[in-house]
Amino acid sequence: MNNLVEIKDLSFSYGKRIIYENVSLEIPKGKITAFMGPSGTGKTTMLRLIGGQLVPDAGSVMFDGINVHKLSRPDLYSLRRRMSMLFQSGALFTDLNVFDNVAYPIREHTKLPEEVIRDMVLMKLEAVGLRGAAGLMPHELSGGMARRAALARSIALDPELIMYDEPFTGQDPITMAVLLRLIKTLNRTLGLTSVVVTHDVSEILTIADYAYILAGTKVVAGGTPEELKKSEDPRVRQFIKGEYDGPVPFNYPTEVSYLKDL
Amino acid sequence: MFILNLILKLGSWGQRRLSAIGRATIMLFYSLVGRPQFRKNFPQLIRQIYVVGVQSISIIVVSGLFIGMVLGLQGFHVLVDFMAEGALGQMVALAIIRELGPVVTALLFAGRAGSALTAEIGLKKATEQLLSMEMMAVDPLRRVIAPRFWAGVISLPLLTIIFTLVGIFGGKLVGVDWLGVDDGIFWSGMQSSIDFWDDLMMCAIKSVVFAITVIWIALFNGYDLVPTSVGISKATTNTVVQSSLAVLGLDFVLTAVMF
Repeated sequence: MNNLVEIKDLSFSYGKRIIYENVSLEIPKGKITAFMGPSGTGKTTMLRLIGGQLVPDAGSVMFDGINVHKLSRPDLYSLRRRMSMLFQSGALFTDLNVFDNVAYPIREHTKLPEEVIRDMVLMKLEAVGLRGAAGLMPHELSGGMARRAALARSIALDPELIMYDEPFTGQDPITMAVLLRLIKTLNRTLGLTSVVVTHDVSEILTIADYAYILAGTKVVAGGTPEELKKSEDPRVRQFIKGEYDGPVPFNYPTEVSYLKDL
Repeated sequence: MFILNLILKLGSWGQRRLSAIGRATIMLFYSLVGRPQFRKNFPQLIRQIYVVGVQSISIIVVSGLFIGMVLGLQGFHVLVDFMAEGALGQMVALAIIRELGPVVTALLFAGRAGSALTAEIGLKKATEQLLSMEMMAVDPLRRVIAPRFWAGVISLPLLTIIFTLVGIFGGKLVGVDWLGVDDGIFWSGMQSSIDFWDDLMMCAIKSVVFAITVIWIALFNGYDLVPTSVGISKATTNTVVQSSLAVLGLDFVLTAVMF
């Protein structure tokens, strides 16, 4: 298979807290890959490792055959033009309106004349259904609109890889359906490779081509949605069905026993 | 045991300080070193000079005026006992040019512009705006930190000039126009006692050093803060406290070295 990102034997920890141990996974080109897992397993951390914002303790992240963490600062920045990330909060620039937000990466990285930029921005905004909101400031947008505006900004320069960090958190069912549809259409029409980090299992499995379940420093399972749904692994079953009881621990790990602590 | 704990605490405090200074230096290094990008940074620079400098003018003018007026008033009452009120111009000008001008302007600047910069950058960090810039392959150090740094370094010396001029004018207002010191003696005494190198250059050097110090502390506190509401309020306080102390300390050192 043709992979855009390949992660090999990756280990990462924040201080003493181990986030990943010897994790390997691949993100196939042109497909939608989902990273699922309980909150706090470091799914966002994985995206930031791919983007080169964090440096792993061991292992490698290859983007299109290039080792992300071996690059110099200028090379890393030029590699990042080929990828893009949609942050959980949207992270729109609060001092610019929606139009200028979307135009920002284009103005930064190209020398196109303002008329061309205008057309490009309006096309991106139309794609997310916000052409009418071009003149609004970020604080005037609803949560779902802000995320769509941020999405328009992330695709402004037609990246090869787009990483969505919890795009559905706190959204109403309609917005959620809109975002799902957008992710799918954009992936197909722009020929993107998409990575979606989420714990909205049933929603994402309707559009994902491939999914990984990350839990407790490891990749617990990986496969197509059908494979995962049929899986006999109790951890996978617990997560996919959203059961309270199961092998994935509910308690935050501690070294002292409950009895002793009291 | 108590002593040991104290030494341990002191050690870890020192280590934290040192590593903060290291991070601050790296931040400044990466923001300033590299190919200049005038086309993109120049509009930002102008905008920041407006925010940091122009918007501070009113507080600088008002403070300068009152400090000059108070100096005139206090100086007159002391000098008149010795029948030396002719030296009022010299006294006001020396005090303001050598010390009060650069120091008070820097302190006001730290409170007015420094804290605002820390809060602004901190909020950009807390709302992931800096991270998203990085992922857009735009270096926030070059695009956010650098223009604000230069704006501060350019603005503070200019504000110091304004403060000094207004302060001397305030002294003249009280001394000459109100208390009746002779106009000619006031100005000529000032003219004969101010030296270009010893006084004016000292004022200029001080204000440039203070500008770098204050703006650096403000930007670093914003860039390095813990992105929570407590973190932001702590960082803004730190900016004002640290830069005020740094300005006062450096003022003493610079005066001692240059005289």
